[in-house]
Amino acid sequence: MNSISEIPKQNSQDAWSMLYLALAAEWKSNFGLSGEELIREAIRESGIRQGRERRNALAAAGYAADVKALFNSRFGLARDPRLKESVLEETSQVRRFEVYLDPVAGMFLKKNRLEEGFWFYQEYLYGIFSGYTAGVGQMHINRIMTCPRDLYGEYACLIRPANQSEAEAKITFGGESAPSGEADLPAFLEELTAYLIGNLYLATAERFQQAADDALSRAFRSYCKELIVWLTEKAKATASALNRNYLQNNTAFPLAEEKFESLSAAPGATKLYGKQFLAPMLRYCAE
Amino acid sequence: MYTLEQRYVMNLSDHYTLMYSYTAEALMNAYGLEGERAVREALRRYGKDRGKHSRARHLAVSAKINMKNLFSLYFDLPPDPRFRREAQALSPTERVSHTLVCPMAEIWKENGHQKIGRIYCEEFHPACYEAYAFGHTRVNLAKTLTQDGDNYCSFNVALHPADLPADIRKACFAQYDPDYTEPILSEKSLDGRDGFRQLTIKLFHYLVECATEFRADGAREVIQSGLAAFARVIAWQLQDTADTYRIELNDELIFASMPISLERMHRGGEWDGYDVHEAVKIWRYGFEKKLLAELES
Repeated sequence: MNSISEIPKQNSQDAWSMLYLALAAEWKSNFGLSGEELIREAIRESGIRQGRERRNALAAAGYAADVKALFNSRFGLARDPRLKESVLEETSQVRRFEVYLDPVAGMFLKKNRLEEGFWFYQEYLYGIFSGYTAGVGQMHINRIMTCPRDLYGEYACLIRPANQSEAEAKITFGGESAPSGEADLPAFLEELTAYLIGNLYLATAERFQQAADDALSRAFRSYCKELIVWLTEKAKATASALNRNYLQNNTAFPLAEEKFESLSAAPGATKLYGKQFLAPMLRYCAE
Repeated sequence: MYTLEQRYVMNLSDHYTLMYSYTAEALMNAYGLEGERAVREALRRYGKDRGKHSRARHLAVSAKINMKNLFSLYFDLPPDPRFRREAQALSPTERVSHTLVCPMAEIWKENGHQKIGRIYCEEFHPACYEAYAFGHTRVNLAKTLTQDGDNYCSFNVALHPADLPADIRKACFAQYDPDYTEPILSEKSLDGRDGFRQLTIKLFHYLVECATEFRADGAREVIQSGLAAFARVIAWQLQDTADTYRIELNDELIFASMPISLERMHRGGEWDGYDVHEAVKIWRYGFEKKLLAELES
């Protein structure tokens, strides 16, 4: 724990990690290797989209969409306050860092879900950096905290002007440096939730039709049950009422179907999201 | 102290390493960012060439295209006695290792070419390993000895079955190919001179190709200026070898220490397929003539 005010952010991150594991578990047991393929693809595509949007937002604001801005501005990646890292090098072109405390990996380890954890780590940040650099940056992840071999995370990412067109280099390095700041973690995760579910549902429905609906329904039901138990404990720990407001601040999903649909662009998934997950959650929290 | 045979392999390795860095330095000094673009692109093309070549060799003997074979079967980089590696994992899906001593990084540092060396690491490894496995390899190299502050190279090269289309998965992993029988292969050790000759010629070829593509005007002269500086270092290396081992600096020493034969020793075929944009002429004029002049002086 860092401070009372940071608990909702931490809860949001944990709620997101649990959602990811619920989806990954369902897809793994239901679709085997194809399930792994679909989860990897969905998480990678979600990262690409988030990375591209961050680049576009920086460019629109007149700031350089460089490596520093991705990690240290309100336009960049949102980070959990519990994350502890050591930055070995940080410039506009390169960031090399080691992570010693990572709440996402912590959740995967706590639930002993190392394989699904690997899928996430082997796809998400690559996707983010690929989208952020229009495919010409490099992301290196050499140690992953969910790997029994590794005690810490070892990362490097880089983008070189010599690998970009002049126009792309202007977007990356041409604007003024974005002011230091922090991105909004709950909003970032809410977006990721909708992207992940939307991507996963659409790709699965294309290959397995009705089985996509069935799998997503089961994943929502299981996540809903788990989340209610977990949130009840969390709310109790801070003497908070488990109501809509608490849900809004301590979880990682949109509380309105319309918002989910606008982010996910997947009406079929939205329908299931509303019926199998959101409605029971809101009902429980209103009681 | 190393044996004379080992020293020859070290000379060949340094020759390859410094040919790259002196040529790249000349291009980057002359053309700035444009020169760097050419160097990076040359390294990528070179990496792809080597990756595809290894893949073709493996397919020709019915070996699977995976990480274990990439790093253990018909490896195309001759072993340098100075090299030290801590291997952590080698399986069809991943190869994890730490390079503790890299002679290439050391000689780049000694010659003030560390930044140029880092460019090599950034571009060559991903291009080569990705091309080998049909573009699906994940190459992670978060730390390199060409980077200030890093004391090892951290390699994590992976190929995930779930990332592959079914036909490629079958070509890569035995467990997805039920009728597959592992071939029994006997491997001859790679001759140091043959190995470094192929690598040096390929890399030089792509440097010339990209430099002339990016800057048609004067690229040839710029490369020759880099080769002239390189020739001075090689003349020193040959003399040092002769002095250290108390042997005569003769054709035998030159032949054993240099991957590309001098014109007078050339038996043909060395440059087959890699003599674009008069690469051989540039080499003979820019490097060989200068080297012979240095040795005579």
